[in-house]
Amino acid sequence: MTLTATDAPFIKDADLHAYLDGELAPAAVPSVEARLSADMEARILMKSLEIQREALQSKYPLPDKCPKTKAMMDAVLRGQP
Amino acid sequence: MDVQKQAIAGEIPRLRRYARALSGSDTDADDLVQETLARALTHLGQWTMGDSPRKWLFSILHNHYVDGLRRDNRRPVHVSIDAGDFTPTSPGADAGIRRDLDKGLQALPEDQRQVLLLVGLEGLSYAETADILDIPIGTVMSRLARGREKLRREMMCDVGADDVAVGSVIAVRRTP
Repeated sequence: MTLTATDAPFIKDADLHAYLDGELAPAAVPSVEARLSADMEARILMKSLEIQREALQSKYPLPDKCPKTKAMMDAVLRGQP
Repeated sequence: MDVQKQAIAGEIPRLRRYARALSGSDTDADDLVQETLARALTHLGQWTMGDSPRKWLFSILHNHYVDGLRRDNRRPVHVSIDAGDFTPTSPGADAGIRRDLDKGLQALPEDQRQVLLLVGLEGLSYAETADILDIPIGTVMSRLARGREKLRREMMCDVGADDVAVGSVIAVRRTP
């Protein structure tokens, strides 16, 4: 049987965010996934949140290879930040 | 002592990234990180060995940042960072989305932006974020949802039915 948007379990937006962030209690995951399977609006919200997260991480890459970071790390190891 | 210093040094890339995204300025960000590191080294005893230094260091940085805002009585001006140490990893096709992201981040209230960056950029848990900002987890969740929704409206992501096949959306969950 396929759930429709109207008979899928009610899920708060906060639960969708928690699902995206891996913060949802394991027992609640099936309900959220049932909602996502049945409700295109919920899937659109989830997809747009995923795009937002990827854009954020793409825009702010970790500056782990740049000289300034390395200089700061060396200074800390010397005890002189 | 050396183990502690190495652990602190290992967090510097994340501290610099968060400070840059938070302050919107290379100079302010590096000042903030320098102050954070100086304080951390002066107060090494406050950090319990065995604990991750990340939460402790982000808390120090956050407190310095908030103190600075209060002192200057200003909100930072957010500028594009498509330069310097923070060159985007995928220039080109995503440029429009990143411009919208800049605009959206500028428009967010300070408290929502902090939560959004700690969770969405740094990948910290809700509990870690709550500890760093000294707020309840429920407040983290509500600020995150409000911030993301405002940013979503600003970014105007063109997501349609063709983009949201059931399997692809259920696969986006971050593994805890």
